[in-house]
Amino acid sequence: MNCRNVLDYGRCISCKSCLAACFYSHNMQNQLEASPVLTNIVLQMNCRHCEQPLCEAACPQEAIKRRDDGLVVRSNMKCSGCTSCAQACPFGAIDLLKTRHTLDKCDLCNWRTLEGKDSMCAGTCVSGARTFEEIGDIAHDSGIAMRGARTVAKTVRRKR
Amino acid sequence: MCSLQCGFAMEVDAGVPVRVDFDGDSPLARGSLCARGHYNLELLLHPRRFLAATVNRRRAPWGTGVTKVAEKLNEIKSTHGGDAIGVILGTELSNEDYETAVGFASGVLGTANIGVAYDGNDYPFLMGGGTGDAVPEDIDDADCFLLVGDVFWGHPCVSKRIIEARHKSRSHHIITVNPYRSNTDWFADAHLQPAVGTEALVLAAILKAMNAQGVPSIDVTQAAIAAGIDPSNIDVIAKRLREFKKVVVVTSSRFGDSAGGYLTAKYSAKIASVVHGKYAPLFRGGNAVGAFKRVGGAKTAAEILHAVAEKQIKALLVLGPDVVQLYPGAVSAGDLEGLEFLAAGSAFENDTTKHSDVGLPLAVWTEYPGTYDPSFGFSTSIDTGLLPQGDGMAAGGMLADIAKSMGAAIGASAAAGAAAAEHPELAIEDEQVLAGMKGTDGLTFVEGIHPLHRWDGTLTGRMSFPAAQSPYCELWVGEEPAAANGIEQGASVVVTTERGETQIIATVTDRMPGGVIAVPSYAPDARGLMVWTLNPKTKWFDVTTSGVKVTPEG
Repeated sequence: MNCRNVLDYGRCISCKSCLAACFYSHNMQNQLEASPVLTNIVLQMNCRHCEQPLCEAACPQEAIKRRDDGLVVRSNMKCSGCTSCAQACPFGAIDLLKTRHTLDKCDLCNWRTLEGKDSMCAGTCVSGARTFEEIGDIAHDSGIAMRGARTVAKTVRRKR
Repeated sequence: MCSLQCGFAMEVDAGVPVRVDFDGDSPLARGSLCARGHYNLELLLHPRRFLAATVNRRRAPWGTGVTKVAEKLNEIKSTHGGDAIGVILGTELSNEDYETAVGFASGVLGTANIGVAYDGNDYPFLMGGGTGDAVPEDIDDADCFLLVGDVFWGHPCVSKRIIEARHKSRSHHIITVNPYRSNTDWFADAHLQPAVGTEALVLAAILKAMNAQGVPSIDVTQAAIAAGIDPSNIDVIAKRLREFKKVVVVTSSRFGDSAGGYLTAKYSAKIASVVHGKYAPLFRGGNAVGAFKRVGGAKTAAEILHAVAEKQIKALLVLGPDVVQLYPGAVSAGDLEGLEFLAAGSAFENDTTKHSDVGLPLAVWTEYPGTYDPSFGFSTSIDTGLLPQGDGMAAGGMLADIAKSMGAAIGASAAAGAAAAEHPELAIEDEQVLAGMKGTDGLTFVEGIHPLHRWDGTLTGRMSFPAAQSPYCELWVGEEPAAANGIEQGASVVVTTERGETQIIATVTDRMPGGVIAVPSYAPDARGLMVWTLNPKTKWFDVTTSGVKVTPEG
């Protein structure tokens, strides 16, 4: 399994379905953070599963590991909630202390993605903005996090 | 299946639902699911579900509750007659429940006061236009969409199909008519932004510009000016709609007063008919189509609640809705206390069950088998194999138990069904209603903008996700009135109307047109500030406000 969540902001309708899917499939704890952009788009700050994860390097408990299949996973049992990984993450993808002594991060829904299914946030997406794709299929740049561009405020008066 | 009629799968472990999964075979959603769909898991397992009957607000065995309801209904029927009893149903029940309820009202109670509480003001038009109603596949084949209202928010799962159909060709179009700047309009190739409550006027003007037959004689230029848009845009849109081969008109609910809502739906269907396209009314209220097909529109919940406030109804049986929160300006807790008997069935304890003599735990839609008629003209049935929580029971089963206890048989519902099918067109004078439509100078107060808003006491408000997403209920204010009244983002403000005042957090947004402030649906404090009057022609509430002021708190 070498797939990633791909976001097409040209299609996002800011419905927060992805957040709800993540919330309810992870014991009512969001592992997917979001913030509004231009009030009409939700910017999902999910884990990029970096090739050289800084969170893994920062973790004193060795609770974060990058697996052979590319997933960066965190162990609840080892995590002491020291927040080192949250501070090390350059993308703000790890949330601080939602549950006492532990931190949440995206696990790429590995209970279902390993079975060949889409991640919950991609599977639920109502507008087709979020997809779950093989890295090789994602355009020409595996580091891509966004694609598409939305023109703003198309109106009759503007006559594009 | 979700209350918005999108199918989903449920992972069940030993009879207990564990996780929501996606149903790729769902005819409408095709595997996707909006945030509301995910609530179903929490709804089933919610720790605060109403699990046992209550008599005088104390927990009681199921049989005691049923016996009490049967005794009181028999007593009131013999004292005041059957028509002193009202039955109000929610839109989340199954088709079978509605059939049983109609049979119960006619055969057991002998009352004609049975109505559906659909919280939309296009009530009389819910049966669809009858003018080639769209099925999901029509969306895939369409080359042009006319979207009236915020369709993507109203039914997010439809958005994927619409966006995909739009992207099939560069020549395909999305045209929106919406006073607000919503996500739907971001995808529009053309966005007509009329003043709030003038959507019907714009649609009538488009029809007039198309030279359609049977359209009220209005002046297109004057109509456009009254709606606050450039008259030339009406002609552009009318011309464009004619150019496409397959147009689908999708209309969301809630537009202005009840007559305006009715005309908006009527003209949407008319436009679809003129351009030989399809019309798709969107129902946010679950099985609303099934409800109106079976219960009909002879009486509306608004009329019944009005009769309650006027003391003409002595006993009320409510199955599903929280009428106090839904219609705070129409019926008060005091009105319910004034009833001789009130029985309320609900999945949660709410403001209506709190004032009831007997509370009945209602099962939710995934806990019992049933058939449903969603939007887009197809029927679907569900049988999840789950058991209702506690003493919870489907409305149909409840009514059968009550009828048995009353010693009467549930009658046939065929007569009511036939009456529903023959729902007459409303005797509204279109031209008179349209003539009254124009933008307002002062602040206008509207409701029902943001479906993810949370308010304690409602079904949505009890779910953890919306609570985590929006921890407070917001008032949406346009940038212009915010600047004029000194309101800052996130500030606590006081909203005052002629009916009183309430405190709320303000969100300043460019989505709201100038002079309009909005509160979410189910915000009882704010909705209670509106004046709810029964419109005898539409048989539904006209909700108006006057003297609206927004000032920073303190």
